[in-house]
Amino acid sequence: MKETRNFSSPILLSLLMIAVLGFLWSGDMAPTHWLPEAVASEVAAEEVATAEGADAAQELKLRPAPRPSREDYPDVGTSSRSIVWIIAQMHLFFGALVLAVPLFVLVIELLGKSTGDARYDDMAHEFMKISITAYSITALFGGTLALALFLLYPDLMAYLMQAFGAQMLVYAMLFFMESILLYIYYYGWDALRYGNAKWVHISLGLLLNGVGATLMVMANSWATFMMAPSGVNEVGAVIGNIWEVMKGPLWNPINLHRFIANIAFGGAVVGAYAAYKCLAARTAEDRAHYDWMGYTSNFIAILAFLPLPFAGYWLMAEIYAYSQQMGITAMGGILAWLFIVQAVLIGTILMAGNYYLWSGMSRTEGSKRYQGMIKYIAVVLVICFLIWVTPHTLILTSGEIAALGGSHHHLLGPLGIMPAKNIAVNLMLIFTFLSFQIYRRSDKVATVSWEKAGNALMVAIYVVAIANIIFAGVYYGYFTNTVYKVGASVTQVVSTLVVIISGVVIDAFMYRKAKTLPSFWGQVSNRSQYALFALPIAFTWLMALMGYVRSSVRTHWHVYTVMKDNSPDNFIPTIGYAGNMMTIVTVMFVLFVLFIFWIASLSNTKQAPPLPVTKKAGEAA
Amino acid sequence: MNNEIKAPRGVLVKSMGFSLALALLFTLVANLLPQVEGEAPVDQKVDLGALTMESYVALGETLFSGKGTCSLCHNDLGRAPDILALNMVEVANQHLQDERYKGSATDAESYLHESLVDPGMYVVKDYGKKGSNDTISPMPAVDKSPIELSEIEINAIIAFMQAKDGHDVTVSLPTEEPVAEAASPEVAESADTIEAVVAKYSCQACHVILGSGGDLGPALEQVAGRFTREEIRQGIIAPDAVIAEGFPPGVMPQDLAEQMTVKELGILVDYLAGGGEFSAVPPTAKPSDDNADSRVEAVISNFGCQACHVISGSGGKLGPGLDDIGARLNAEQIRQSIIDPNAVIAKGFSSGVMPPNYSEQMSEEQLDALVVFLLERK
Repeated sequence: MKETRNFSSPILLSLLMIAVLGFLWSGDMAPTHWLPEAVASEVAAEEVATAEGADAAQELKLRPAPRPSREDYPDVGTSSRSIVWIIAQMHLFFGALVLAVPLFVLVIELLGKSTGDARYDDMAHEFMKISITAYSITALFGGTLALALFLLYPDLMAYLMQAFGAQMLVYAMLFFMESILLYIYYYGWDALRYGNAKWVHISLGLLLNGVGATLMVMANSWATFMMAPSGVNEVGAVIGNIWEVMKGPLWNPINLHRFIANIAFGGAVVGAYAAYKCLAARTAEDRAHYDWMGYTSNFIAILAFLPLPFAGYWLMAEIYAYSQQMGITAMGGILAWLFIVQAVLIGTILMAGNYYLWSGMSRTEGSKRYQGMIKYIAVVLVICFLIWVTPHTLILTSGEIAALGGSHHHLLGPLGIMPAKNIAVNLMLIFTFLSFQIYRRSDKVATVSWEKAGNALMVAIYVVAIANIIFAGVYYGYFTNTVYKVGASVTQVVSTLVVIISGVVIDAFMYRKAKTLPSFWGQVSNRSQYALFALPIAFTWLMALMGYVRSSVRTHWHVYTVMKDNSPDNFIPTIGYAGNMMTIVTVMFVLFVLFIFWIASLSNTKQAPPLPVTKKAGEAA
Repeated sequence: MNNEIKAPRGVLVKSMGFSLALALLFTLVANLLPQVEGEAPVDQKVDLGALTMESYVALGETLFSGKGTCSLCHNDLGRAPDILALNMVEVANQHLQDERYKGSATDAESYLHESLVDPGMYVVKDYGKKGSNDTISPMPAVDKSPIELSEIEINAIIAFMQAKDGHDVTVSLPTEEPVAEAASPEVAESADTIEAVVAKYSCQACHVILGSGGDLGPALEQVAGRFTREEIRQGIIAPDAVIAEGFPPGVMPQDLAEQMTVKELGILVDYLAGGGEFSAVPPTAKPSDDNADSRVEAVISNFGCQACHVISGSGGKLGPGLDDIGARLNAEQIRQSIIDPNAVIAKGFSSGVMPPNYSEQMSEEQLDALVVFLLERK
């Protein structure tokens, strides 16, 4: 039976979006009431000049950003920000999923093509099944988001339309193209499965990812323009071309960060799908298949997650370079406490990822060689996690402050500042990589003659890197002045990267012709599968949290420094309120994902045909 | 071979319950942390009539940690000099003596003002922008976005910095809104005769002018022979710079330059420089001169352009220099910049400084002459 799906909704939405944007762009989006009087008169004068055919018609038309008053924001009886917050976050979650899954699906498909192992191809196809249902939901939330923004923040959207102009039309058209490519890629999977046809299919996948990545960077430019506007003068009048408007100082750091984060997020979500199917499997084959699928998803998620802090570091460095005030608002101002929640979330991700790897080692007998290391890795991870979540300023009553002799504990206080946390984070990443490395080695026995030397080199790299991370953090963090404190983190990051890269390279050569020990997929504890549920929950919450921080550093500005937010929601809410919102969007996302999983399963469910009715004698007419 | 296995019961409920519990755990952590709301800065209306120096200093302290966002960086965490721990008047005097100082301040008050609106004039060692070798300050100018402090607020912060260490507060209490903020319709209602100017600013309360007046200040009927036009202009806008013998300083208002329109100042200077024989013809209706250059010079002089702009090598720096303006703007843009100066602001300069009503004051002929003259400055 062929699968049938109604895929008209995203395409219709794309067409609708193009029509709406085209209409808005072709007309004058900005009603003169939102222009300052002087500017409005300038526009009027220009129109007269144009009518008279004067040369003034060719003069540069500069309009500053609108300055809406509180009355200019529609009152819908509830917080407009909360409405947009929820819809935008849902769109971003699903957008991240549908952009990320085709990326690693393409890699898995290529792996299947090069190895000739059909299991890879089947798994990639199954991943796409999740992505394609999510795509419809992404489009629906995207359309709703656009509608909500135009209704609730008309002046902001008018200004963004003014700044980005036809770029938004290009975005809508690319969205249309993405829809077409996605459906051909998914539904053409079996039709283009073998021989040269497979290369056609892979090319389609490449094209799909190219369009998807372009969509992402275009949408990113809107967010980064609002954080660090470029191509405009100090009153917000657009003076640059579209490229200058898009290419703000934070655009590329956000592009890289979101690209990597999307892959980690997508891997975690499909991992949850595999875990659910693994737990609910009714045959050993199914359990083995979904155990393997869950392992692959976790592998993708953690592999993408490891370099993510470095992309985040680059982003924060660029934010500081653009505006120290903005950087400090995020890291040392009112938003700083959110990084304690971030530590809890990333700690959860790393703990869950490690626990899953340790549990997975039970699939092979060869893992006994390494199991003794697990408890030490666990101890290091827990200690580092505790250091990471230690706040600099403790939440104390006045009596406790008096008893302590200050708000900073004399022993724990030093653990609350960045040097200590940098040491902790880098060590957690290194030890997570160690878990990954021993997991990968557990079903292999090296056959190369230089195995001992290779292992000694690997151990030496670990020891030197760890010593370097601790020394740089302690010495430059506590015994020199601030300027070196920041520079020291670069040394630490490089040390961590050296361990990861050299570990991958050494193992690739050392285990090239290794003897492989039998692995038994499905031979894993049910508890380990719950680690695969923990990952997407923590990732989703983390995305909501960091997106909130990124957005909130603009404080009371729609577009930082050029367009103020005068809406009733122009304040930064409490952490508790923000946390509640994050849980609401996370739970909503989980419910929608569950719906997707159900739809994906439904397409494989076949109703048994009704039994033929046997006519009794004498019933014939 | 029978591969069937027994799947655990309630997988959906367990997995959902686990996911929900984890999400709630994260929510709990968020709710356990300090709950603070970050209010958007609200422009406080200061009752200037009721303002005392004590309340002005208190306003400065509030602004320091509030709208000014100074305490975000200037604290004990080492991100920027810890202003609360430093004696800022002494620090200002030290920096003024430092050879690395690039500004034009002459005392602690003007240094502090300059450090707020143009922080790059002196970058404290080790606090410069990364990679700039302490030549670029990471601090934003507080009178521009995103902080946007008014002149009154900037002076309040200076007053706070002076007062906190027991120094005398040298900034004056604000008496009325600065011209740039007020943007009041009164600005457009410019007096256009010498009688109207004298009456509007009550000159006769202290000076003999137009044949009558008080004796608190020197008589002004015969100043033409003793002072040049420029000296007369200076005597009005900075009256304490040179004090006539026998008269005390500090009596004449210091803010006439802020109160008077360019046109009014021109009328008064013309009258006094002309030995009390004012032509009574406002600048907009001045007879045209055949010599284009002298006509433009008259326009530049009458409208006081050089008070803020460098033209022909001399003038102030409140606005951009105009000696190369013809290379940067076309004729229409120059004309637009004169008649609607706030539509496009040159980078590094503030909006609202240049009077927006030259189109009402200048004749079309004067405007054309000025545009042509500026277009040739390349």
